[in-house]
This record gives sequence, structure tokens and C-alpha cells, in this order.
Amino acid sequence: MNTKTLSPLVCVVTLVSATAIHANDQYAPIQPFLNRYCVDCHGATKQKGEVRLDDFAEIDGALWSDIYDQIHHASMPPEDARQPSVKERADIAKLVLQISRDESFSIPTGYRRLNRREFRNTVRDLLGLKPGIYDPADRVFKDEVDGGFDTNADELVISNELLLEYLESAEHSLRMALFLEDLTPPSTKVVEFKPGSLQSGDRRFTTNKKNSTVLRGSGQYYATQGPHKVAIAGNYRITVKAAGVDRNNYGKMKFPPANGPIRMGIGTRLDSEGKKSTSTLAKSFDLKDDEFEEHSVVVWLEKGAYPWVGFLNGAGKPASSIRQAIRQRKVDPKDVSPKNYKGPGVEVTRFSVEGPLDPEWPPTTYRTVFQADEMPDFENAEVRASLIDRFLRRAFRRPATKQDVKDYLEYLNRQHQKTSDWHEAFIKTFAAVMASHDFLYIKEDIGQLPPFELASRLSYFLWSSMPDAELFQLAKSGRILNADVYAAQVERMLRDPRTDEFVRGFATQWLSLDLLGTMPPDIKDRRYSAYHKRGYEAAFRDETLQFFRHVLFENQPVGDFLDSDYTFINDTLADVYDLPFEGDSTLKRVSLPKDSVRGGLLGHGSILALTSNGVETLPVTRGHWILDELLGTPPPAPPEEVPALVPDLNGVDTPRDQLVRHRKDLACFECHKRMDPLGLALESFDVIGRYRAKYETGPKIDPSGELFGTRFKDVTELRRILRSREDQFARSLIVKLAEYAKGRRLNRRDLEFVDQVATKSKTDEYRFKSMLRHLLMSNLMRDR
Amino acid sequence: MKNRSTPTDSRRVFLKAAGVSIALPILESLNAASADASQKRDDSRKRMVFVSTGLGMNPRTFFPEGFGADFAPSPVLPAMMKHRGEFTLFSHMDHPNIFTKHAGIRSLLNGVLNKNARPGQNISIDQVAANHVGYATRFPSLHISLGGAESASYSSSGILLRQETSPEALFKKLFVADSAAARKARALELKEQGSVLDLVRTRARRLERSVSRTDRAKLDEYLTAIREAEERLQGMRRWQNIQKPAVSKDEYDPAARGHGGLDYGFLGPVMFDLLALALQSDSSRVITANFSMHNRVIEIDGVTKGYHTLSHHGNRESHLRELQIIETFYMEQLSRFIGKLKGINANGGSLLDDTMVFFGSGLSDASRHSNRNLPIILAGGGLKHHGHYDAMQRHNGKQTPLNNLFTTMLQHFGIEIESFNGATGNLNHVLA
Repeated sequence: MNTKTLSPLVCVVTLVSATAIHANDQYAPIQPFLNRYCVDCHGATKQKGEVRLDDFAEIDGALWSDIYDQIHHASMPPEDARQPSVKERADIAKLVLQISRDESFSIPTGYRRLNRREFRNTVRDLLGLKPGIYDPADRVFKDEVDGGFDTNADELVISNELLLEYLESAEHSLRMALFLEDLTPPSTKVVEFKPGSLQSGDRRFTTNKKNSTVLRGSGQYYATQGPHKVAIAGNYRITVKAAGVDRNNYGKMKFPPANGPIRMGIGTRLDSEGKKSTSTLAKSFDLKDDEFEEHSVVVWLEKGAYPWVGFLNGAGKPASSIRQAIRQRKVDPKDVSPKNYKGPGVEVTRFSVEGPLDPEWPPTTYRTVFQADEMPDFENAEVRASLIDRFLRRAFRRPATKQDVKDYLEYLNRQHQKTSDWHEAFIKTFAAVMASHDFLYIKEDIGQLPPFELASRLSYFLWSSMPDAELFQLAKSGRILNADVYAAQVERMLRDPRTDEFVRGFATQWLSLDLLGTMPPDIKDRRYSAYHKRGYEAAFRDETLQFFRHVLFENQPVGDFLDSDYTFINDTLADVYDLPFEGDSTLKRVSLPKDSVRGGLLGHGSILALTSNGVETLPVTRGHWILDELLGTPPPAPPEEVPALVPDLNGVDTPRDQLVRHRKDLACFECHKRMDPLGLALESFDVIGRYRAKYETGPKIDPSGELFGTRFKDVTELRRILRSREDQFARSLIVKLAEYAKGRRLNRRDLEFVDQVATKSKTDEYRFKSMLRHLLMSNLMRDR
Repeated sequence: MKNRSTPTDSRRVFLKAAGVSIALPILESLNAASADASQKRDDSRKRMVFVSTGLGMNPRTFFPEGFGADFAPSPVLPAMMKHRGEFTLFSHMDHPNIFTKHAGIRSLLNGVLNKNARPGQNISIDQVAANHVGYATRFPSLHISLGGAESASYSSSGILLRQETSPEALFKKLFVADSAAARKARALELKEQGSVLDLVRTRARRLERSVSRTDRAKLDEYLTAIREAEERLQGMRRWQNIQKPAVSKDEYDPAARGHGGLDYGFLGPVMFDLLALALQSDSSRVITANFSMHNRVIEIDGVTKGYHTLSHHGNRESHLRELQIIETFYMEQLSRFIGKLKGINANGGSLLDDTMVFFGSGLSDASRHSNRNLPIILAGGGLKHHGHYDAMQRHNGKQTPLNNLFTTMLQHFGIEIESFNGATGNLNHVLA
């Protein structure tokens, strides 16, 4: 917490609470001592060294250790200030030492709210919902996390708004899972939609004929007659008979696609009350001109979802193509009015849905929620009690107490009295379970984690979700505490595809990949048109994630993040990086030529773009990024009064010239002499990560500089120097991994374990998977 | 773009100009339904509107020459001049602790460094006002944004509030009645959510005595959320069976559509007209409206480059010219909105007399990411206005904290507050 922003009101409140603590506390003498000797310089008005000691309750463990050092070694208060007596000093030092070792005074909260990702995954796993179009967290607002990870308990506050959103999402998800109107096994049916009455949201550019519809616009077309939404979740086969038509109705004027086949898409869609519909594309098909063929695809449809068919490579917005054609006098406006428009399209003569294919009974979601292979007998009171018990255990990720079961059985019975419908009463009751703090919070006791908490720690770290059946089983028997059993679980989990949640959750936040696209270049600026048209952002993000996966799962040294002779590119990235490449949009590992400007994270378009603002490159931000993310030594924030640099783009004032002037200011010199050379080396890359030798205004770029006393002539040499600091980088990465896993900032005691993990990892050349194993086996993972 | 913002010459504008006749709810019956909450406040029914931009205002074309009532208008101000005497434009005012560049936008309405604030420490001014009004109106506050969501409104629990970005959604929220079945279902849902909260609170309370000191704080946070959620449900339930005010078919053309989210020439007038109707029908008394930061091309005549690109003008004439077109448009929208409120009768005067209309941005000069000397205008509200006011504090040579102005606004709104989020004083001596 920043003490500077404490409002007076809050100060009053905390003082009251601190006083209350003093009254019945063995540590009572400490605050008066601090008040007498310390708070003049470390209090509400002054905070020398950003240390504040006027509120006992706000001092954390690391600070207590510092205070102990200062008091014990008599280095504080300073000589010219009032001094405590020797006895006073010794007594207080003893108490401070005690408090610094007292877990309850140093360890942050053990209540961590599930973040949005964890909520989504946990709900899916708890209810057996397959990842499809339905997103259980769709209604939940994004977590606002300033710096650090979305697992940080301190940042994960709860509010009335969020609580109600969780509650609504839980009930909605339960209705997606427990969807049956009547509890009888479903059978496979075929529904033929009338092919002449397909519609999209935009009624223009559609020709509805008696037995077919021609889709000419870019919308998603679906049936509008009869029930088109499925009642039961399952796999469905969607069949569409179609051909490409009307290619040449306007003579020389060609509407898209000018070349190649007309492409049709089949996908799925789900409406959500009060929100935009969500949809996905399941598969695309190249059509033959005027030759009708059947195409089909099997998709997972959730309850309420329905299929759509669309024209994928058409004019997109026919209206703008048409306006352009009229302006260029290529067509007669009469012939292209929305009613008369006969440009290229997909003509559909059959649109049908068959399913659910191979219906399961009971459906997976029922088997998961009720943990039963048969549809339970709700009329049996014993069965009801055991259903509640089983659901609570999984939702709370611990054994249910008698009180837990009693609470929810009573609630279930009250719900049943209202509707006389047990199925409905269970939905309501389980929704209430999922609004409970026992579900919404991951809870950890002080000290070594007991079995169930350890199981949750593991699964939320690697899978961002609740433990699976095997982990629960080992927690229940307590065997998870056995080192061999635990190690075997770690191996099993690392092999599980769910570990990709860790990759995306950790890598995205560590490298701020979520910032990509928040400040894109101007869409109308021709210099950057490829960025938008060819989807650089997605390609950049994929490259970095793929690189991360490779280093992790192929167990490569983490030094590869600093410098590597390979990376992952596709056709788009090959153009951005000017590298030879044979292939399509699929990422492939390529070896980089010797002395390539690429290699390591500093060559990734993602990092270079997200450290720019879409308009200008930001050498200071880039330099800061290297110091913070790669070396773990962020420089302090700039003095507040210093305004940012303003480039004058009329002249030839380069960023280097500006920074040289800026460094003349002594207040700026200390930090900028570290940041600037790093950022200026990266000036060789423009705002979207393309290599450049000179600025557009003319001046040549000078990427040379110095780091740790070694000169480098360009970014390639800078990378080599960085790689020589692999120790520093690896340690900083271990800290970040541990913070992500523990859901809090590390304190001084944790650093001892970090060092142990780092030492062990060094003998393994800092290979990533080995390093992660050492971390998973260490006290960092096994203690709160 | 000229005149495009006046409603008469655009077929796409669906609300009639000043003096629209909308069917207002009968206030008496409304009071009967919520007598306890609304009666005591009816005599001082003030409103607050906050209009903001995501990328500041170029200081060279925003701040006028000369101070006092007779200042000469700056290049972007001409549209505002017909309201001369009814607004104050402040120079030398900002949030003294905010140096967060782009992130300063998020601090405009609270003056707090959000990054380090705990819940409750960074409530924004609009939410202080909204909490005061509570559910005496259907919506404690309304929030809209053009060009994408970009909120600066923080609830008392530290949550960033959501904004409406489309006129259709805003219209539906304000004036379209839900079906009887939907209302019934919603009422039942609100009631059931209430009973869930009962249960989870009872369960959380049992823990209170046994948890450790550090976990206690988190548990308290959860219990507070429950209590506030219950208040919220109660408020929503109160309005469940009261008809929404109706706007007749003539006044709303459901087929009217702009060219998408950047068609400001369409969206600006339509959104602000809906906001004026919301105030007129007393659907809400607290509103925020924002023009977002983004790097796309705003669809007004003469603009060809992305907004963010233009803000980093690097002193290039081509960029400055287009930036000025956008900022002039903002001022035209503000002026038009103020004019609209003036044309609506309320309490024997105009609605503007009851409505404090604030304009500002958390950035001043976006080309250098400066958070100093913010562009600020306050109009209406029945306050004393001064033309161009120099807020440089003589006694210490420092700029006046914006929260001092906010303190005065909250006091004028009828809230007994000594200082808002660390304000060092107020501007009552100037404005009241």
C-alpha cells in the first residue's frame, strides 16, 4: 500500500484497530517505542526511505526484520536524535525479533478470491461443461490488476457488483449443465431448416428464393423458421448443400473474391440475454462455382446454441465496395441497390442439423455435478444428502463438515417447498454453494500446507483450476504429502494439456502480452497497414507463447529468452522479420542466420510493439523493460516534476540527442545512464518491430552502447551480454513464478528458498522444466 | 462536419430538438413508492454531469488569452461562447499527486493513484454523489462512453464501473419497458438472490471469530460486499414495478443507425440527447460521459488520422489541424448539451440551473503525457460563474487541487463533506 495516498479517514480507522490490538497483545510495547523514537522521520508527515512506522498493523515481515537490524545494531535512531536506553533497546529488539518470526504478523492473507480465469475453469470442471462457445465468466467483470499477476490476493478484492455477477454466472452455468426439461434419455433427430428462409442480422444483400437462399453479405445466416436452437447439449452434425454463384454479373467490375474459390463457413452461435451473441467458426469450405455439393461438420452445441452458415471471403461490407464502384463509375447505381444487388454469393439449398449424436445417458454434466453414473433418485432423502455432500466437497475443495451439509440441505428443502421440483431446487442450492466464500476463495493455513490445500495450490498454479479426481483422492488419503507421490503428481500435471493454462496465464502477464493491441498504430496509416490486415498482433502473441512453450516443455535453458539462435515464425512473421520461410500461417521453428537481429525475446515483435505506443518507439520504456523484466532490477520511478520528452517531428532531433540532453540533468542521470543505452539499441526496430537502419526523417540510427562496463555495437551484441547475466535473469524468473503460484509478493524469508531453487537450477543449466520442478518441490510451493 | 451536430439537418438524429415532450413519470406516485428515500431530497434536487476526453486538450488551442468575464475565446471555444457568463473555465488546476501519464485518465474523477489505493480509498466524485441519491432515482448513476469503454468511475468498493457505448442499449435501459413476464421473472430472481445472500452471510459470520488477523480483513471485505449487494437488490426491487418514462414513437426512430462506433457526428448528439432526457425524466441525477482514447479515425469531416496519432502531433501542422477539429467537436457537443438543458424547464428555472456540468480530462497536453494544468470547465448548477478563472493559489504559488473544486460541487449537491479525497480546501468563495 502506498502510504502517501492514505486518506485521513483511513488513518483514523487503522489507528483505532491498532489500539485495539495493543490492548490484549504481547507486542503492546512496540508501538509506543516507535512513536517516541521513529515516527518523526517515519510517520504520517515524513517517510524517510519510504518507511512508515506509525501504524503497527501495516508493518510487514520484511520490514520487521529491518527494524530489528536497526535497533539491534543501534544504527537507528541517528546519533543526533533522542536515544533509547540500552535496556529499552534490548527489550524492544527482542520483541521485534519475535514478531518478525511470527507468521501471523508477516504473512499476507491466506484468503485469495478466484480470479476470472480461475472462476471460468473451476466452474467448467466442477460442472463438467466442455469448453465451447459458452463462457462461464462472460458476465464477470475483468479483474483490475495493477502490476504483478492476477493471482495476487491483495489485488483480488470483492465487491457487491462482483458478488452478484458471480451469483448470476453460477446459476446460469448450472442451467447450462443441468439442462433437461424432462429427465428421460434423448434420441438422435434430424431437423431440416427451410433453405429459402435463412436470415442474418443485416437483411440487405440476401436473396431469399423458394428453395434456397443466396448469402451475399458478411453476416452469419441462420434459420428463422421453427425452433433452431438445440434443447440438449451434445455433438451435432451440421450439413449444408451449397455452391458459389453470381461471380460475373457486373462484367468487368469484380466484387470479392476476385480470384480463387468462394469460401463458406459453418459455425455455432449462442445468444445471451442482455448481451451480444457469441459465436465461433467451426470449419470453412471452398465451394465450386454453380455446382452444389454437401458439406458437413460435427460440432459441440450447448443448450440454446444453434448453427450458422456464412460467406467468408466476400466483400465484407458490400455497401462500401458498392459505394466505391459507383464512385469509380464502374456500375450503374440502380443495379447495385440493396434490393437489386446480385454480386457473388453462397447459395444454400440444404441446411440441416442432426443430433445429439451418440447421446450419453446421463449426460456428462449430470455425471460430473452429481458424481453418479445413473440419474439420481431425487425423491430419496439419503440420496439427496449424499448429493449435497459430494458437490460441497468438490466445490469447497475440502471435506464438507456436518454444518456445511446441514446448511445446504435446509436450503434445498426450502427451495423444494416453493416449486415441488427437486431438479430446480438443486440448481438453486448449488448456485448458493457457489456464492459462498468457501467456493470463491482459495484458503491456506499458516505454515506447511495440509493435503487439500497443497492439492489446490498445485492445481491452481499449473491448471488455474480446481484439483481433479486423482489429486482429491491423494489429498483425502494424505499421501500427497509423501515426497515421491507428490513428485509423481508434478510430472503427471506437467504432461497434462491443462498446463497450457499456466503457459498462457503466466507468460501473458509476465511479458505483458495483454498490452499488445491497446495502443495500435493508426489503421489508416499506410506504413502500418499490414499490421492490421495481416494480423500482426495475433502472430506476435503466438510466436512468444510458442517460444515459451518450447523452452519449457523441451526443457531448454531459460537463457534462450535472452538470446537464442532460433525462433518460431509463420508466413506473416517471415515478412515482418525479413527471413526466408516456406510455409503458411502455421508457426514453425526456424534457425536464425548468424548475426541475425532476431533471437531471444528482444527480437520478438510482441515485445517491441508493446513497448511502443503505436505512434513512436519509446526507448526509455524499452530500456526500463529490459532492466525490470529481464534483469529484475527496475529503476525507481522518475521524479514527479520531470515532464516527458516531446519529440519535435519537424526537425531531425533524434531520441538519442534528446536523451543526451535529458541526462545532463543530474536528477535523471543515475537511472537514465542504465536505461537509455538499452532502449537506444532497440531503436533499430520500429513501432511494430520491423528492423530499420535509419529514421524516416533521415538520420542514421546508432544502436551502440554499454552495459555492465562492456561496449556493444548493436542489439545482437547487447543480447550476448545479457545472456552472460543468465544467473540474474533466472533468479528473477524464479521470483516471478513463485509470486504467481503463491498469489502474493515474496518476503525476505521466501528469498532464502528462491536462492535454494536457483542454486539447484544452475546445476541443470537453468533448464526451464527442471527449474520449475525444483520450484514445485521446494518450500516455496509447499508452505503458505 | 459543420452543423452536423445540430439536429435539424440530419435525418439520422431521432430525438427532437429542445422542448421534447416526453411522458414523465408522475413524480407524486414515485414518491409514494419510495417516500422514505426521495422525499427529504426533493427540495434540493441537484444533478451532476461529468464530460471527459481520453487524450486531454491541446493547451495551446484550449486555454484562452486573458482572464475574467471578457476573455477572448481560444480556437476551440467558439461554440461555447453563446453560454458566456454561465460557465467557468479554470486555468492552473490539476490533481497534485497524479503523474501517471495515460493512466491519469483513470484518476480524473478521484484524484487518487489507483494503483496503490485500497477499496474505499479511491471512490470517484460521481459515486459519492450516486451513493447520496441512492435508489431515489431508478439509476443511482449513468455512464456512457464514445469510441470504446474507458471508465474513471470507481465505486466505494474500488470497482471500476461499466459504461454504455451504444445509443440503442442506453435507450432500452432508460425508456423501454420490459415485458410483464420478464419483470416478474426479474423480481423473483432479485428475491432469490436475497435469500442466497442471507445464507452465505450466516455461514461467513460463523468464521469471524476463528480466522487469523490477516484473513479477517478479507472476510470483512466479503461481508461488506454482501451487505452492499443486499442494499443494491433492495433498490432495484423498489423500481421493479414502477413504469419507465415513455418516449413516443415520433421522438425515437428505432431504425436510426450511425456508421458504427466512430461515427461521432451521429453518436454525439444522440447520446447527449438521451442523457438530457434521462435528467429531465429524473431517471438519474448523476452522469458521466466520455470520449475515449484510441488510435482509430474518428468519423468527422476533415479527420483522416488516428486520434492517438494526432495527439502525438510532434508540432506538425497537418496533425495539429486535425486534432483541433476533434477538440472543437468536443466543445460543440458540450455547448449543445448545455443549450439543451437550458431549454428544459425545471423548478421555475431551467434544468441547467439544477445541473452542474463538468468538462475535463485526466491528461492536459497528451503530446507530452502531461497531467499538469488540466483542461477544466464547469457550467450551470446555479453557481456563480467567472469566465476564465486563474486558479493559481497566491499564498503558495501552487495550482489549485481539482479535488477542491470537487469538494465544492459535492457540498453544492447537498452532501455534508469537509474535503473530498484529500482536498486542501474548496472553491466556495469563488463559485457559491
